Amino acid sequence: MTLRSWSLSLSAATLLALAGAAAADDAGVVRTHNLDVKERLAHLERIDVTSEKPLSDEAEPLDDELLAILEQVEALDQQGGLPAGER
Amino acid sequence: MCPAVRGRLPWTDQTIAPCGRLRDDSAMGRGSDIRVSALALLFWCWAPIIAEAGYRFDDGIYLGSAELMADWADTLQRAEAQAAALQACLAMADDCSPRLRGVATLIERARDLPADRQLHLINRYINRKRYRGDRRLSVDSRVADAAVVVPSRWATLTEFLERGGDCEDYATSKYQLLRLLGMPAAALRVVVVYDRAAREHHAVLAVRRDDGSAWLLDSDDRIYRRGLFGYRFVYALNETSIWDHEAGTAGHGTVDANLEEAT
Repeated sequence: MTLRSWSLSLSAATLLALAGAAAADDAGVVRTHNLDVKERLAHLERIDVTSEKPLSDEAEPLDDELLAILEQVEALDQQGGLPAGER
Repeated sequence: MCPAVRGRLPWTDQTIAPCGRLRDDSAMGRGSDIRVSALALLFWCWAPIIAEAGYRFDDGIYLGSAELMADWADTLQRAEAQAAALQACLAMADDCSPRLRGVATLIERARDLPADRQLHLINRYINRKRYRGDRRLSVDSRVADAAVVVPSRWATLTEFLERGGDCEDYATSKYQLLRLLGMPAAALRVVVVYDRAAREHHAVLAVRRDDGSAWLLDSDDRIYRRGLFGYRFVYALNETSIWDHEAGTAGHGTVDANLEEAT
């Protein structure tokens, strides 16, 4: 690859990045919206949010200090009659 | 091994040869132009994925006060009363109800931890609690001028600990615990998302960190910092406000939103 072609490729990449930044920049642009807020809120109120996700194996493990706190708190929860976690 | 691909790029005279190599039909020595086209194509393909890289607190349109959502507002009121009982519990451990001793101890021990470790601890503690689906509930809507049946009931931390709950209750309970640990409301939002893989709505807790980034605490124990995940943000709320993350986006089809731009 010649120096000329390298510089052309780099210039093009820079131009693309600049174009993207310009498109994302709202400075100097006044955005107004005409939104039927009541209708939107009524719609949001009716969304059924009841997803059940199983615990993931990919979560970061806790260190010993945090595990010890959890163990103590869960023991107190059970002594207090709170249901044990079932997950 | 790359697949054999043949075709013609619409804006050039070049063809795509097997293994994605571009061959110039018109002239030799225009390799750099071809690379520019390939770069542009790559950018175009990845732009939508890059755009959903994470949650941003400064996105979303302010819809109004949190009081506008009746069930959420009622939950906040109950949570406030229950927080007072928890605070009393923290001040006078001997007078603490046995049911609150665990969570009071959690707050006590988490207080001195760095914020990141608090998030890990609270996420894990709440995620261990029992999952229980919602019952539909009729509430007097503050926006629909009538009673509406809402499919999701928001629970407070105490209610969740006693009875279990579903995804929005996990997020709300984490919210309340982090508030009790002193995090400001402005740094916390319960975010309702659409899970593309499961094809259902879900709720997570977004936490704004000091560097301006957001962490998403999920009910599956994962904490998303940045990167890709298959959620589309729908709306968010905290104890003061509601934000819409879909208004103005193409295809949501539920809001009469006309975005106009003027310089």
